[in-house]
Amino acid sequence: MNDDDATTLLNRLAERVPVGAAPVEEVIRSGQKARVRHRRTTVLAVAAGVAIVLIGGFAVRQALQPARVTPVAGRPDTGPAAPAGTRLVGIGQAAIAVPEDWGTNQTRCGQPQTNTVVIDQGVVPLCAIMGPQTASDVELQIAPEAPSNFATATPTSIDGVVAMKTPLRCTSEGSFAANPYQLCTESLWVQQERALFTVTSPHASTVRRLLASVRVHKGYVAVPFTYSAGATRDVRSFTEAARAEGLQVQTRLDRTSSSPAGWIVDVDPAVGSMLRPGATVQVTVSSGAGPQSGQGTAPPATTTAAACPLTSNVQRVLVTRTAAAGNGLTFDFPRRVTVRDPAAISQVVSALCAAPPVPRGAVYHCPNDIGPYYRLAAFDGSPKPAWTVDIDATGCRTIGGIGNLGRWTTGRMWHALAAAMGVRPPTYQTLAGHPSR
Amino acid sequence: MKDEADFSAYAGARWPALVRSAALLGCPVAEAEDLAQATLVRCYREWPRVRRARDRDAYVYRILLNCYRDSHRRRWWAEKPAGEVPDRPEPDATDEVDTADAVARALARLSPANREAVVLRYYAQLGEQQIADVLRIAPGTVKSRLSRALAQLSTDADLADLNGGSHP
Repeated sequence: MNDDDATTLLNRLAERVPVGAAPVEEVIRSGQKARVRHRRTTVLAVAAGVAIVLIGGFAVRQALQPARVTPVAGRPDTGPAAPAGTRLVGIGQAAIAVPEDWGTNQTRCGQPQTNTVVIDQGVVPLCAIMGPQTASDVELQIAPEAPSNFATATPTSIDGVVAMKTPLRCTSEGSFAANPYQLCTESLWVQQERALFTVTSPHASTVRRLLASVRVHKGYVAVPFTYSAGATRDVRSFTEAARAEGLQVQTRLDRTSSSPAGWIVDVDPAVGSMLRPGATVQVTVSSGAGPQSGQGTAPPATTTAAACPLTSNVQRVLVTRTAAAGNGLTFDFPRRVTVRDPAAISQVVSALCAAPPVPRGAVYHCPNDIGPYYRLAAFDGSPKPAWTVDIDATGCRTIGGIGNLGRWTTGRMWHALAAAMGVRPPTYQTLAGHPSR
Repeated sequence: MKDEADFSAYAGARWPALVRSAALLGCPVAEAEDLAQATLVRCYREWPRVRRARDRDAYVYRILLNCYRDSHRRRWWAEKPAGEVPDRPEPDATDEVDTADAVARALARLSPANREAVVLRYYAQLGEQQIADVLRIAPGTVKSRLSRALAQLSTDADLADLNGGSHP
């Protein structure tokens, strides 16, 4: 192959890549916002610098220290003092104080069932939510860039570090017309730490109080997590992240876990805990020797419904995903995936056919319908699909296209679809998108 | 306003090449569009500097590669939601997906460094010195990467299939 061959070949390949119209207007809008953010951040940084100089030389020395303290082996694993009755949960050096009696990841379909911190959430089964949100939650997410809902955010300073805060927003949730309720939310983004804190509660005062407790604790770092950043939940990613924060990692093998080899089973202290650099984090890692290794924990198979027009004898299944505008959702995989593995296609079809039908005339609410849904189109050699199925990932979580009746989605179905698409780990949270309110 | 008009013209003209370069680097089509868009947003933010650049295309490709490397280091992609939720079947996109898959397969076996050199040389049509500037490596290293990459591509089975038009 010579230079001309390579040029011809790459151009031929490139021409096959479909390209739509250039989104120039969208680019300019985004660019204008980025310029404004940059200017605001610069102004605030200068203001913070002036304040530091006025405070005195000690403060200047503190401010000029590297963001991360040099690791000191053997120092006690105690975090910074939390306000009475609270515990600290953070990302990097930024942490929020939450009441001690709050749980962690006590959610259902992403909705808190009791007051809870949401951090490094793993598998979240999809299911219908038939009631309003009455509990509060604090969600921590890794956010390298400003989230999409920060267009109206205002700059602030926390312990001398620049941050952005969205205005408190309380909305009346209209899904329950007979019983409307209010839900308030506010977010704080500490760019230096890539930390996004979002508090949601029916009570505005709770939102304000909790978000006001965010501090930047210089000299401490949080036990990191990598899942929300889209990285796999493997020990290598975790170890890299922990070492970048100056933490040491000790690993222990778990030979009974059903997770694939190298995946994290447990972290102690828990992710988000604040430690001094140099402290040691114990990580329990799956050896991969447990049952169903590599497939996660598949729900048990159920009886296949009698009448199901879907055939698994197809060459490929094209899975496309669509999200509604303005949801700020993030996904870790492409919008379009082609599944060719006959076994994987068979698993998906089997799970779809086993999904329970929605009763005729059923009346139900569809809260939390935030848009993403999947279309499965099966091809058996003809350009026209042999069958097409639509799956609603949120809201009512129904399946359309299998005969005349709608069906409910099931955990088994989501698992089979995720595995077929090559989503590792096959989490339902991933398929529904990572919501950033 | 003149800056904005200049930028609009430049972005419109370079959009297809940026998307396709990103696809050739290994991004699926949707991600390639996101990457090209992120690149142009950065260009817009720094447009006066981009305009003054001695070699504008090389400068922009450096931004593209930085975005690409950042995104793959973080393995994080922001979803760009659709403008509206379609409630009816969309046209079949299988052929597009197959093509994107083939492109990815064709270059996936190259090392990232060699793939970057190949895309910049044989698709973006940058010269060796420009590539050296973009990648911040010596021109001699560019030559050796291209040579190794071409040798490897010559024996790539997926490329041979696609080149022969036998791909479904």
